Amino acid sequence: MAGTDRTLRDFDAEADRLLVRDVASGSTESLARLYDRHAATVYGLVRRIVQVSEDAEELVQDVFAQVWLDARRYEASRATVAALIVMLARARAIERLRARRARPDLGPGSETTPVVPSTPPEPEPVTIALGEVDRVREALGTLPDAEHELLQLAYFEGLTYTGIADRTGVPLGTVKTRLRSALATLREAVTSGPTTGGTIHR
Amino acid sequence: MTGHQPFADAAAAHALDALDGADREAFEAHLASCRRCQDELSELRRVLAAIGLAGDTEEPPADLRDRTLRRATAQGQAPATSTRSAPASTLPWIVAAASIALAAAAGVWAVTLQAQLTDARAAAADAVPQIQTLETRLLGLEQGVNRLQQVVNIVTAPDVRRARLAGSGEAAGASGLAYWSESLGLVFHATSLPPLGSERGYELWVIPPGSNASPVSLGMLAVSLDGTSSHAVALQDGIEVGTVAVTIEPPTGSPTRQPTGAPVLAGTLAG
Repeated sequence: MAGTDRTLRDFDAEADRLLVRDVASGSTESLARLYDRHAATVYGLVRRIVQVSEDAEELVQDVFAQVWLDARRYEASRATVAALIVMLARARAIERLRARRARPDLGPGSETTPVVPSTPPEPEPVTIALGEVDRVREALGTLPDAEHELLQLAYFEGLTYTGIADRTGVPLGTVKTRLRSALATLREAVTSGPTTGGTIHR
Repeated sequence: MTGHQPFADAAAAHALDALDGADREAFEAHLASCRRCQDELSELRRVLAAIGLAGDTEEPPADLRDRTLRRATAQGQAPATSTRSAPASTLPWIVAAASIALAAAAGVWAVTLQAQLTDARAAAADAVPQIQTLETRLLGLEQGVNRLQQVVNIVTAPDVRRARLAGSGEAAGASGLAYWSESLGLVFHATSLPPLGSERGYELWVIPPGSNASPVSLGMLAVSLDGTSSHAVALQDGIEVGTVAVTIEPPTGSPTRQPTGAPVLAGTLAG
């Protein structure tokens, strides 16, 4: 799979759903197939967030352990499996990053960020249709630099709004406005495009 | 929608998990009753998932596959929905007080939602967005129940120890309780905390026993409008708790990572 273009079509999403159904009934082999299909996406994302390879490997294990544990809930939620996995991966990676910031002795990073008591994320019933990922990728490229930068800090560095204001010196109100505007642009891109057709190339 | 305006930016922040404690609690309370925010949030989650899926992939080390599968399948699997219920009659007052309101609201609401969900499922395929909204709300409810379960587990743990917390100084009228289980974590509940405005906040500390021990911050407290604050916190391994204390600090926490003033609410765990 490495280095090749992958295409996510309707049947891919459907295949994921079937795999999750089998995982829910205890199939290790189906979990292995889910891993083969999504591990590179998960690893790419969490490594970008936590930077450290060892942490990223541990997070990949956490994510698929959670998929195994919660497969029945995933099946019941009827969400797009790839979306569930990627949201879970981001949540876990951000959690790790924030814990590291709160306890600098645990690793690199030295900012003061309050620890927000949190519970493990529940599977959100997110559904993504064909072509939406492409359109979001395209729209990301059209964001003004100022908005793009703040979105990166929130999405990949897990900074809260006040954390972003502290880090960048941008006033809190402006941070809020810019992030809202950035997400509105991306959302527009998702909802305005064609509802069928399109592929995801990676 | 009255009262929605203050939360206009909050949905985006919440979707990104970028709200700080008190703001997050305020938004979640609003979210429960605001259809507009619920819809916006589910739209935003699609966008955020798409951002994650749009990023560069990277092939993990080859041996990670085996390690991952071994670890994942070494554990059991959770049921599709949680059916656990708490034995309310045997619980201490703190849990009873917290749970009665939530359970009553949750129970009635869940039944209503479930009925709506069944109806919606029976309806035509164009009901899909409605079903998704209802499912989102059910999941939110489940989250609340899970949090409550965490509180119940700690308060009823065999190794639980308790502290009464007394207010002083600026929070002289406040009082509270803390429960600590070495294996499960800490439950903190305070009432009558005076509002501090946006320039200051309450920071929660645990102080290990012994005269030389340094306080460990558990983060900033989210305080509701009526001055109550309830949290269940899983502690880092190896942290032992002797005293639980709250100090007043800048909104992002003490810059020195140690309390900058005398506690305004504190108590020592009884054996």
